[in-house]
Amino acid sequence: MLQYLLRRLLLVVPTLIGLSILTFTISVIVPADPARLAAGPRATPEMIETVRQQHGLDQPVHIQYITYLENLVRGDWGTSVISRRPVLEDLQRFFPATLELVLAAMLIAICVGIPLGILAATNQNRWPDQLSRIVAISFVSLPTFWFAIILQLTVAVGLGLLPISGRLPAAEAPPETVTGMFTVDSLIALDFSLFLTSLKYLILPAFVQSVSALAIITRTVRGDMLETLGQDFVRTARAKGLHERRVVYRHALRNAMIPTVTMIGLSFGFALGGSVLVEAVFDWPGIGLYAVQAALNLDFQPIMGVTILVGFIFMMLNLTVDLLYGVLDPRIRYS
Amino acid sequence: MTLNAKPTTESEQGLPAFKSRTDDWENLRRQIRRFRSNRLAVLGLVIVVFLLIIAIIGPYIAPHPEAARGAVDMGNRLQPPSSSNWFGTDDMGADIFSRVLIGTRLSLSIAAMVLIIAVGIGVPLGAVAGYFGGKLAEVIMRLTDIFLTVPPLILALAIAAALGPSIRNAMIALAIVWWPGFCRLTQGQVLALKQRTFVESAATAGATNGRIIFRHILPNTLTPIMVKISMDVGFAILTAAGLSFIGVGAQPPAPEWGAMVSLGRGYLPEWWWFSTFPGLAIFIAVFAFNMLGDGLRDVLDPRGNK
Repeated sequence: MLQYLLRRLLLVVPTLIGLSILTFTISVIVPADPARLAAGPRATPEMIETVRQQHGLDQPVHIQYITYLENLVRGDWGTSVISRRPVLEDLQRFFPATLELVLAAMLIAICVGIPLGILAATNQNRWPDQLSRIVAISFVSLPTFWFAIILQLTVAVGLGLLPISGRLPAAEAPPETVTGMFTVDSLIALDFSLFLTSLKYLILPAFVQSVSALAIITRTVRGDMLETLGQDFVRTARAKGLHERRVVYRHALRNAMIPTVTMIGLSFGFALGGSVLVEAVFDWPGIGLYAVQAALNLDFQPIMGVTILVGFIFMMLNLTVDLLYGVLDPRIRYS
Repeated sequence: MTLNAKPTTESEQGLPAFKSRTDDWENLRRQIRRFRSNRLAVLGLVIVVFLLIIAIIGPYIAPHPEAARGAVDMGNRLQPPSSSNWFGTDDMGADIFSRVLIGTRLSLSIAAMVLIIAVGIGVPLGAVAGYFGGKLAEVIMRLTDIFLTVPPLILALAIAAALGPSIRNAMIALAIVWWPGFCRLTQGQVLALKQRTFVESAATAGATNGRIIFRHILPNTLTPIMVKISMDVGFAILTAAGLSFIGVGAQPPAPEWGAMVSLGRGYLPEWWWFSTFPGLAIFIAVFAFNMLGDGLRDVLDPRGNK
């Protein structure tokens, strides 16, 4: 097990190097001259040349890449032209907001998706199954950015039930930073009214963010439950005279959960990517909004930083899912 | 062609399965029956056909075709939905209904182009990796892995931003993000087919590698690839609209649905129709393709039905 873990962790390194080659290649194909961008609009040709030499942009491409990789490893992920701060510092500042959003979304997706999937499987081809099918297909088909706008129009503006955007009202001071997630930090500070306020701001974006993961989880649980419910050990359990509830939840569900865990891991990664759109609509100050603003201002270091960070998290999620397999299914041995 | 010729299977005789044309027809009829019993899939098909017709004739039936070309009519600015402007008008006084109608062609062709390029890159690379194996396969598959480590939207955003915002560049970015999925699928299929008896016997009979790949292996990978394409169309429309919404895809006044939603966002909540109708068009199109894809998968690939 430990050996397997070490080997998998070692495999992360070449993939990360590959990822850095990818982001480096993207920054090389940029049509704009990076030296000119960095030197500013009123720079003379000599000044641009100086900047070019300072940043090593006059070196051959492979040397430039090695410098880039060295900087990445040393924690120098470049500087954002807009925020004028180091990219790594910005990422630390914005990441907790994204994590809070995605965790809340996955919580909703899991809590609604799994029961809905079970309901569909135990009522195969009857109306709960058909309904869950329509809901699932609708949910994966929703353009999240549009759905977010519709909810802002109806729930926030029309009914006035929840705030339109942001994380907290302008007048409210955020809780003392522990995790950077306002709902968690306010609970740690035992400030319940602040917790409720931040929760209100979180609900709409988290719900919008959850829909596609919710749909995928529902369909996966349904499919796997149907498969397990048709197997011999379930028939045996029923023949023993066990209560149907016990058969479904104790015997079938546990075995059906294995592929579901993979789907949850994958959806988590996709939600990290999809948060770009949700954050843009709800002005949610996470790394997605950061990447969008950078992309619109031709500020490339931040986009590359977000790409590498999200890629790294995605890899770690896959590893975690593979390890969880062994916990859920003792037949799997790592060697 | 005898009707009572019993088809022998490969496993029984160690020979390639014998299929008469009658079996093909019978099979097709069975598949159509299966498809027709799935009411959602039929509904999806009907909407998709309707969308394709609109994509072709949209510019000719739109009540105000000049709206899609960026015509300005300030006197008619931001009018609510009415009998003359079903979806209202936008900030330039253009008829939103006409723009949505004409935009159908744009949205569908972006998705089609992305998938064509992605299949064109991914399938040959996957076939080569699966068939020949070795170092080359190792390189191709590691490359695939790297692309698959970043969620598609983030990678497409990075590439599209680097190339500069335009429809063409958004398509290129999406195709670059999309091919690894087809590569991995094809590689897996080819790897499995390579060990089947009919491929081995073709090799023994002296068929060239090219002939084995194109005549014996690739035709058998068509079904899963078709299923993936049909499942991916909706997602491609959605992602392309997302890129345009962010601002790194189609630029106004192009009648692209995502870009229209983005423009309308600045006019909320008073001028609600501006964003609502173009977004609804995206939802309906993606919903239709997803239902169709779901139904096709049921019919073509019953084992992969989950």
